[in-house]
This record gives sequence, C-alpha cells and structure tokens, in this order.
Amino acid sequence: MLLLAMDTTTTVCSVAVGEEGKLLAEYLLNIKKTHSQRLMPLVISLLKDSDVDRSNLEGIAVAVGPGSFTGIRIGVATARGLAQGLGIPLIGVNTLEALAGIGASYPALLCPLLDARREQVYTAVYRGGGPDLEEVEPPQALSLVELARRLKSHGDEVFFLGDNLPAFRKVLEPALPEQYREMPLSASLNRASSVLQRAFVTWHKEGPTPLYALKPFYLRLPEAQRRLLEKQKGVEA
Amino acid sequence: MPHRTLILGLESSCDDTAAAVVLNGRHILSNIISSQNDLHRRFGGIVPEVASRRHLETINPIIDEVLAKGGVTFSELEGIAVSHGPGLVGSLLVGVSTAKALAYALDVPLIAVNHLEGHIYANFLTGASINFPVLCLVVSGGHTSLIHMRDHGELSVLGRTRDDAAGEVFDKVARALELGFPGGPAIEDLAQRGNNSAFTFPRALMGEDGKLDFSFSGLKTAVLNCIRRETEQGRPVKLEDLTAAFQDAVVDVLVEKTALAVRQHPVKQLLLAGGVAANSELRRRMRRRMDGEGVEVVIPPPQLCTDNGAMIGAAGYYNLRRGRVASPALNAVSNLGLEGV
Ligand SMILES: [Zn+2]
Repeated sequence: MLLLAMDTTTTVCSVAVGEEGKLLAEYLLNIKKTHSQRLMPLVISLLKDSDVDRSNLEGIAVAVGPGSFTGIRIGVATARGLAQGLGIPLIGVNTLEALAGIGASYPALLCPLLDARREQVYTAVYRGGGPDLEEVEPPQALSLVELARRLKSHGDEVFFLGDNLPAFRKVLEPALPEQYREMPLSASLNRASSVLQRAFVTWHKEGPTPLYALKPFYLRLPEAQRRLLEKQKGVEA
Repeated sequence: MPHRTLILGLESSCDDTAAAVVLNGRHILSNIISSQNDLHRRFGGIVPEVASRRHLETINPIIDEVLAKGGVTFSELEGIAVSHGPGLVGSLLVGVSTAKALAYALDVPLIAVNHLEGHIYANFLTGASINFPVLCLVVSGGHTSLIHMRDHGELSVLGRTRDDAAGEVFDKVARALELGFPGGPAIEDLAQRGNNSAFTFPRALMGEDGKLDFSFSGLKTAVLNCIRRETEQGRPVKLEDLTAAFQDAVVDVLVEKTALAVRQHPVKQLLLAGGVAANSELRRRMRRRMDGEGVEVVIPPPQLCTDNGAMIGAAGYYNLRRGRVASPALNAVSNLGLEGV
C-alpha cells in the first residue's frame, strides 16, 4: 500500500512516500519559512522525483498535532484536500508518537518535546524496545519541572527528542543527571518517514480514518475560550 | 476554455466557510455558506483561532455537499478558485491549503482570487449585462473602497477608508447599544422606525475637494460619545432615532462620495458590493442618487453581498480566462492589495 505522509506541526516541514517497510523518498526542511508556501511544492517534487503518480497513492498519512495550531491546520487541511480529491483514505498520527517512533527500538524511555510556549512543552512518555511503543505518559502540556519530577519516579534512562532540545537541556539535564540522554540530531526532528511508519501501525490496529473524522489534535483550547471558561468558573464559585 | 466551464469557489477569509459551483462565471449551480455567527457571539466579536478551527471542521463536508447539490462531480471541474486575502490569515490558510491540495489531486488549475475582487464579481452573478468601464463601491466590515474597473483585471482604487470600514462602525455601534453581533441587520431594522434628524452626526471628508477617501472613526466616536452622554444624564437612548441618524450619516457619505467619483470618472454603471451593500437604505438612496446622474446601479441580492463562494468562483472564472493560474506555493496574505489582480 503506497502512502504519502506529511508533518507540518512543528518548525519542520517534511513529506515522505513509501510502502510498509519501504521508504521511497523523504524531504525535510527545517527553515523558518511558512509551511503554507513549502508544503505543496515539496509534495509535488517528492512524487515527481520518486516517479510516483498521484493516482497511484492509496492513502494520506498526516501528523495531527500537538504543535503549532497553524501548522497543524495546514497539514490537516492539505491531507484532507488530497484525500478528498483523490478519493483515498486518511490516517492521522499523533505528532509526539511519530517523533518517539524514531527511537522505537531503544529499550528505554522516549520523551518527545515540543515547545508549547507559556513555559510548557507538549510531551508524552513512551517505552521503546518492544514490538510496539508503549505509552507511559499520555500526550499533554507540562512544565519541564513537572515533567522531570514524573520521569525521576520512573528511574530509567530517558532519551529526549525534539527540534528545540538545546533550550530544554538546561533544565532537564541538571534535574535528571543519571537519566538524561539525547537522541542524535538526525533522529531528533519530526520526519514524515516516521509518520509513514506509525500510519501503518494505526492502519493495522484501527483501519483508516474517515475523511470527516480526521481531527486535529490541538491539546489546548484557543486562548479566548480558555479565558471565557475561567471567567464562567469564577462566576460559579 | 471549454464551452461549459465549472469552477469550484472556496471562501474562508473571515467567519463564514463557503463553497459554490459556478458555471462560466455567470451562473450559480450551488452555493453553500456556513456562518459562524453563533460561535463568536459569546465572545462579542470574531476570535481568529476559534474561526480557523471551525473553518477546518466545516470546509470538506461543505465541498461534498455543494457538489452533490449542484449535481457535479470532481472530474467535471475545470478549476479551484480560492480567496487568498485580504482577511484573517489563519482563516484564509484553511481555504488556501484545501484548494491547493484539491487542485493538485484533481490535476486542475488553482486560481487565486482577491477577496475584494470577489465581492465585485458577485455582480456578474446577477444576470445584468456589465459593460466596462464601471465604478465599484465595496463596503464591508473590512473595507470601504471606490474602485474604477476598466476591464477584467484592470482595477484601480480611487479612494478608501483612512480608518474604520463602514461595516466595522456598524458593528461597533451595535455593540455599544448591545444589539448583538453582527450589527448591520439589527441597526437597519431599528432605523426603519426612527427619526433620522433626532441627532446630528458628522459627515467626514465631505468638504475635501475632489478627494474620494472615506473616514468613519469621527462618526463612530460621535455616536459612542452620544450614547455615553445620554446614558450618563439618565436619558434612555431612543434606539430607533439614534440608529436612524447614524445610518443616515453613513449612507450620506457613501452616496455623496460615489456621486463625486462618477463625475470624475464618467461611467454608465455602478456596481455595489460587500456586506454593507445588503443595507436596504443604502441600496434605495444609491439608486435614487445615481438615477439623477444617469448611471445604472447593479447590486447583488443580499445573500451574495456578504461573503460567499459563488463570488470567488465567478472571479476565478475570469481570472482563468486571462490565464492567471496560481502556483502551488500560493500563500494567504492578510493585507493583500487590489493592485495587480
Ligand atoms: Zn468580505
């Protein structure tokens, strides 16, 4: 089954095409340019360069977040448009799971980190080394201090991944001196090949996602909605 | 171009998600608008992030629905037109990303449409025969512009608002009077039963010789001050009179500036466009004034004045006919100008 995969949920814009167990091509840009301008041209050259005709695609896999709200929407809207126009299924993949998936064979804890602003990271904790990633902590937004506290209780080595590691290292390394490990840079960026690989896992477990059911995974409410809810709660209290 | 050119028009620049199938730039086969008014009402205005999220939920089902309603299949489309600005960038991006992906999947041209240009093309869906050159007055929540159009793609802006757009002032006055959002229809309704000379509000830039720019912030301040003064002095504002006087001031300025433009740039037709063009007082007074100038007024029906996909499909058809196909690198541009469309 031939899939096109994409991830635009972080500063990385990446696209890949391949079958189960076979990556045909992958492009990755980690430049601070808008995904809106880069994504479709990347998809077009990817398919052209790998001699794949769009009509032969059998599914579209997309990272649905968490991450940048705008980035999530560009990816999901593009994936849905392609799936709708080509009449093929969609598969949504959690961004954190895709990122951790790069290190899935490490028999250790894997902790993907994405900048969530407001002094928090979007993160989750998985255990690698088994037949599939095992979720230890579900995707959530946490402060680095709280994350370190939880990881300390597990006691195992933790491999951190993500495009912003240098900024987080300052807090995490001193907090987890025995456990802190980093994945190498080449295995630390969101890549569409990992979205592709995770998509096959999801496909086998759950089948494809119907077009309208593919939901972005924002993890957070819009700021205005959050404030409105707090105000309402305040009134009730 | 084929004899029968079907264009899918997509619109998501503000708080309406809309799609339409348009035949030869002139006939609407189907037209669906999903309004977000209910969603934003509790915030008292449009919240961009909330709008963007709703657009993404809505756009694909609407596309399926509009094709089914028009009895059209994807394979019959000759192009996908999308408004790529001006507007809220997050909202625009949903339409732009969807359109780019669809155009590529279907292997048809992607056509970029300026949202303002789109509003003007709602007039091509009225059945009226339009003969260039024409003048256009685009009045909406984001814009108040007088545009001279010599031909398809040959537009020049003669005048624009220097501060608030006419529709924006309607919304702000409505909010101050707690009439809800959007404010236009509520004000129009009340004003019908009011005395427009009960209050006197300023008409800005009317004295500036030959200038075609607008300014509505002075009027807005005057109305808001008036509301505050009356309330402070314990006099309940008579809503009917206040809205009538306010609407009268806006319509006066729009009609007189347009009359001035018509004298400076003689044309046989005036096209009205944008959400405020749905205002019946403006429609009536503009028609009467232009009659006196010997100028025919074309106005789309109210449902085509506010944002819709059909106007984007119509503009898209004429862009395609001029060979204007957009690249897959097309971006959303929040402050997109009309120059070079
Ligand atoms: Zn508009």
